[in-house]
Amino acid sequence: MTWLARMIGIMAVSVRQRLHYRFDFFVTLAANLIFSGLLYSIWRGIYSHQAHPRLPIQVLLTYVLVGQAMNMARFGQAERYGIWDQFTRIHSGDIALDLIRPLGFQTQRFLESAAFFGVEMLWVNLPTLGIFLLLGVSATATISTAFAFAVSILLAFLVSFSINSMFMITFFWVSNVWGTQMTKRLVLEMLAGTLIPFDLFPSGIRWVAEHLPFQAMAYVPISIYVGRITGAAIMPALASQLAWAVSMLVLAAMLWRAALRRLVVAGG
Amino acid sequence: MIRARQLRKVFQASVPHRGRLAGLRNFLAPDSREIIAVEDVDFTLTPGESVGYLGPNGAGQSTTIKMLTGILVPTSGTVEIGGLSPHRDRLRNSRQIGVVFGQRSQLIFDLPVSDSYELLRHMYEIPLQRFRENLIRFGEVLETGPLLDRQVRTLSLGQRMRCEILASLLHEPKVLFLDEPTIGLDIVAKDRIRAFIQQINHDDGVTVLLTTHDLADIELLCPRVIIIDHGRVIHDGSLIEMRKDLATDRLVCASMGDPTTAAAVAAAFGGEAGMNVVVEGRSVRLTFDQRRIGTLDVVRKLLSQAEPSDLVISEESVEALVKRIYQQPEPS
Repeated sequence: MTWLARMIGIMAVSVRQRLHYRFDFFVTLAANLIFSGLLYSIWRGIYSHQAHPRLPIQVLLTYVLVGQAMNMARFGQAERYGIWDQFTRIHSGDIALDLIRPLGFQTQRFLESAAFFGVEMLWVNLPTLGIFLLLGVSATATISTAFAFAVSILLAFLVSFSINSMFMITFFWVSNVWGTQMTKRLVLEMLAGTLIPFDLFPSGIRWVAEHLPFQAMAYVPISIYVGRITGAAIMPALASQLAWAVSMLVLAAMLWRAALRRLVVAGG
Repeated sequence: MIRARQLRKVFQASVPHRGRLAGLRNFLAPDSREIIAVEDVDFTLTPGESVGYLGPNGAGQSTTIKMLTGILVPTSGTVEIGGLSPHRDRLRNSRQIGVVFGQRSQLIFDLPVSDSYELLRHMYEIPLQRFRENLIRFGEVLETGPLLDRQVRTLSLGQRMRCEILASLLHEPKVLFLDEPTIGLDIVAKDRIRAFIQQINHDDGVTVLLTTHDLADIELLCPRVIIIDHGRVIHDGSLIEMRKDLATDRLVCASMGDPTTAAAVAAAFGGEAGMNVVVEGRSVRLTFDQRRIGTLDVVRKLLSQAEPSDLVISEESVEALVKRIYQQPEPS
């Protein structure tokens, strides 16, 4: 219990740190809405020429807009807070100050990231979803679907955190964060399934995408929301998400441990 | 409390190729060479000791501090702090040490100072009661009370450094590492920080290892000095003994009635071996090694020549002394 109080205490300070930049949230909210509007028009345009669409238009639009509202891939919550901060810490050597604390480096980063995820969900993502619902996007079919969706989003965050944290290891060698970041975002957006639903992929690529960890970041929760994953299929989907989350977290922790060992042995 | 044995740290540094296609070769197969940052460093600090760790820029002090705090792993040799190996038990060791890097900040830039302390309270699991007591007790000398609600970004360097030092002590560490804590500070701020370091060393028995380039810090705070250069310890002992052994130069400065007398006095000392004579208007400055030329003899001879209107005899300053030690040739 004291362990939990300690973690919450640390997260609370991170929350305060994020709330300091309130204007950020408005910008993110606005960017979210603009991107959503753009994708909405594009998909409308494409569908007006489709005679036999693979997905009904209402399902497709809901899928795309919920994906934008949750924003797990392109400007994912787990990435934005950490990226610049981590990059500057590594390049300035301030990472030394994280290494003299009685809490593991990766645990410190996770608490910060989780705090940011919580704050941003409340300030940006849920309000965006609210706006979409008012504009006529369908809600989940049942309350229990909504609940499964919420659980799935939490698991998606864990996967997203671990993938981004592995990505941050490249900062030890790379100085062009912006470039690598853009590349990563594009790849993530395709493979997480937020840009184009997997249903529209050619079957080979779809099979690959469904067996990579990235789909656990967005494809699973959004598919639950729109009812593409439903009933008896929900539990196995959540279980595989959990399995991905656990294995990716372990992998990220191992890679960071190795990177830090290299740092402390070789010097920064 | 702190034991370093045969401590050694070697870094790999890349060396650029020269000559034909140097750029391409540097890109494809960069050459590297070993740089010895710390070599054969041995020392022991007993609990409650306060030691100055001196050396010119790049001598290896920061590398040593990083090994003592567990941020760097020694290439060979051992380090022990209160029975723990800093890099093997990094997390446990972090609870018994406090660290201040004068050039870095451990406070959260955008938030009030108190929020950074709040974070440390949870990190180090400091009981609330102790936390509050420490804030008040340490805050008295450091005068941080009025700063707690200020955003870190608005603090002056001196104010920030006082807050940094308080931050490093909230969890009541047994050992405090200070890496250039007074760098860039004004005299008042320096004084306050020195008074505080003295207090926690005397009253709380905190072991202090301090690196600095301001020798006044050392004179006031550290009875013992370790000097490192080119990665090796070149002196380890008390400051008083260092003075006795090494500060052998004396300066006799005499003011005469007029420039002619001054020139005549200078001429009388001119031929003497080991004597450095400078005339500036009416005054004569004589510098010599008192082991070779007796100070009294010099004064007697001076008085036999003329009657100075003022006479000052002084010892070499610690600064001049350390400068001399730093300038010793590099061992090959």
